Amino acid sequence: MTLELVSASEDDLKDMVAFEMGGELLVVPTRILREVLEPPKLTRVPLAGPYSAGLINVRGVVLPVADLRPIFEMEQKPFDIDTRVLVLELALEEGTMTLGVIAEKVHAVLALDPETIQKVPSVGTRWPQGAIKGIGRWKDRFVNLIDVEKIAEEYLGAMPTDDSLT
Amino acid sequence: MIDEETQEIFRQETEALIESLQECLLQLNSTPEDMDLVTQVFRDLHTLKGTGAMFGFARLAEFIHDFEAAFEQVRSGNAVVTPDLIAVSLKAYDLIVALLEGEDPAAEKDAELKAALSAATSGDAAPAAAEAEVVEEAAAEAKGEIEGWKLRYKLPPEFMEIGGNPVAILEELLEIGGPDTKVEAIVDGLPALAELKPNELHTAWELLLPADADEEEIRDVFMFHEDSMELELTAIRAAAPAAVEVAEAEVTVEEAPAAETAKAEAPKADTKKPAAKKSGSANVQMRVSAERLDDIMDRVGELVIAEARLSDLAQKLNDPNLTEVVEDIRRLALGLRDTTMAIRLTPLSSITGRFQRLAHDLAGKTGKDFDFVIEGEETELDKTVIEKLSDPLVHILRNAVDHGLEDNDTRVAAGKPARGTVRLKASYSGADVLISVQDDGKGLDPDFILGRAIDRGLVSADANLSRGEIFQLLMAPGFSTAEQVTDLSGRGVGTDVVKSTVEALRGSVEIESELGAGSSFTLRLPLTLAIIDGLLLQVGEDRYTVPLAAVEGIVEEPEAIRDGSDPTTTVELREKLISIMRLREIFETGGERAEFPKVVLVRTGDQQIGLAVDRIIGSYQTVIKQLSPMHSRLNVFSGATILGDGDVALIVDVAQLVKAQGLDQDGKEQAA
Repeated sequence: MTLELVSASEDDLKDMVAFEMGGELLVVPTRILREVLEPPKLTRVPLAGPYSAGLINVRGVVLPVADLRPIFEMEQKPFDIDTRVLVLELALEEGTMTLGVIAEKVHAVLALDPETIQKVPSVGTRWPQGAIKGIGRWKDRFVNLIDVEKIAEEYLGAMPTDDSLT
Repeated sequence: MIDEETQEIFRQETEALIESLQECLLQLNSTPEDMDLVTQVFRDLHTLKGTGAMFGFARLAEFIHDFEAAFEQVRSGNAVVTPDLIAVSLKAYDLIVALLEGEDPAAEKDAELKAALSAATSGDAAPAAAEAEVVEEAAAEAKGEIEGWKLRYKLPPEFMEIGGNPVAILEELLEIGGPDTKVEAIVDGLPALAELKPNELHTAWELLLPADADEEEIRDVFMFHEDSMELELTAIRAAAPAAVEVAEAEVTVEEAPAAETAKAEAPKADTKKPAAKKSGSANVQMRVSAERLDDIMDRVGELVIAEARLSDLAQKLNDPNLTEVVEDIRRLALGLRDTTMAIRLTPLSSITGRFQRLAHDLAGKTGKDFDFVIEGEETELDKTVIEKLSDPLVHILRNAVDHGLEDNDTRVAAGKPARGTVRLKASYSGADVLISVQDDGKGLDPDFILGRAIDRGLVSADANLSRGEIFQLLMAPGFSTAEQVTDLSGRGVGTDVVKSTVEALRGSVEIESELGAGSSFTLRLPLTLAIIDGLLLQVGEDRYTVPLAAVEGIVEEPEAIRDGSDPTTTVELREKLISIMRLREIFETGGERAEFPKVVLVRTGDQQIGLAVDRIIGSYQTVIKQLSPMHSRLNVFSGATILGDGDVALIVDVAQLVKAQGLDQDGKEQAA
């Protein structure tokens, strides 16, 4: 498992951006990170469910922002001075999707040692099936490699459903 | 071999030619004596051949060569246009299209069609051709003065870099001139070896062609390069050129109706004038990729938004100097927006050729006689809309002929003219475009449709539906009234696709029909997809936009419904019972209630609905931004827009919201 994971994303592991949510440290490859924004004014989208934080205007482009905390069953703490929006560019089966993700605090860009990366235990974690690619170690903390593409497709309705062939 | 990219460029280049070719052929069917059309067919074929050869489509070029030869016979008066010739030509056209699309039809087909073409144009020329022969003779007489052609040309230096092949040009010229042609390369223009770049062309050529070489053919070789090259073509004459001109003038006087032919045949004194251009209109056309246009549209959209922010700011600062500049910028931005939108508009005529062809084929297959009439082809629509409309319209047309029109005997028995009429009509209606397909066939039977829908479980047996609603059932998925599945009209799948395609374009389909008298399908579509006039509404803390075109009125919220908190309710307004949607409740918005809330009356389909809101902010130029799949799956919002202050507001899709609230059926029953 470790080997398979590492071979798929060894380059990515050298360059990960770490952010914090609900007391957990999460990482995504900097390769997919477009920018980090101070939280702009969010326009709520009614009826869109708990994972949608709303829409933002990034220099004339309207982007959706997702709040991943309900997916991980984390408390939705109000925005504070550390809150940021990570703008990620995801390569999905249907094409590229640019998505904002709320981060309670953005830490640093770090390199992970592939040796430390382990499979997610099937029980005893808060992570839903498939949301995490693996867990690594950085300094004395666990870092969770989240699979944003998969989350987007499974939880955010990025894949078109039958009734929305638009 | 031809790579995909080349093929794509080639396909784009030839699209218009193909469309024009088909249209001319079909028109020739009804007016076989129109020599202008014959000439146009000939030109289209010739250009296609040239382009094909240039892009390396050898088989295509070879086939078209023979096709062209057949029309050369007609053009020169040795043959006439017959229904046979048109039928074969249309088949030949199909083969060309197949070859262009990269298909690989059996090689025998080429030969077969070539034989059919030459058979259709051999035979003795009909009397109509005799006139033309006189012209030909006269022209030949004038030509007799010429002893040969001297051609001197220099292609642009970047000729090879843009994919040109000088050798192919020479070969083509040699084919025109035959074995007696003399060729000399002129290398005066060659730079010193140190400066010579191998991919630049510096050689010029001088050719002496025999007298029987056709001037137009020679010029056509250079058709695609004439703007950037040097070309000198002079006739080597024995007698004084003045005599030729007199001869030409005489021909023109004698044969007034054929004057154009005579002119085309007679040698021209002005050698600078490119031959190919005289057929085209004076308008200079440019081909631009749709992607670039989309880019421009996006930028213009942003400009309009930025301008709105600037206006807001200027209003706050209240500085007359600033206000003046802002007004200028506003005028310019709006002008730019209108021009940009106009660029994207394409007339419906760009796709009507294929409908004419379809009607022609349908008449053949069904044996039904009918006239196909197109009205309002000049009506313009956004290019993306036009492209997406083609398939739905083909489907509706097929249905009209296959299921709508009765066969000739039935028509006569019903006291109708044996010949039916199918009408494709386009017109403007406010900010919308209406495109309808009407037939004078047997019409739709509402009872039959309702019965079928109940059988299929699409509606409950006790449903109380209006006529319009029953016709709408035709477009429900899985509904088909065709008693027999035919080759033409598929298997009852498709009409629902018509509806979904049109709705995806923010349009709607209306069906009207009178039993025994005919039916009409009308597509109502917005002029453009990019910018709409919107009405901005305040609902609690949020702002939403609805398309202004749908808004029919604004009233004070009646006291009677002010206290309720159900998402929907009904109220009597202007003596009519109207369903009200409380947006505050539906969108679960917080914030203060306004002291004087309003109800916006909007039209969706054939019903009026009220939207209860807190405040009307005003009308805005709304640049529509598509939502990501994360939000578009909700359907209730058709997009988002950026407001003057930089905030994002959602655009409410009223029809979908009505559906989501279950008011689309019940609401009407109450109102009826």
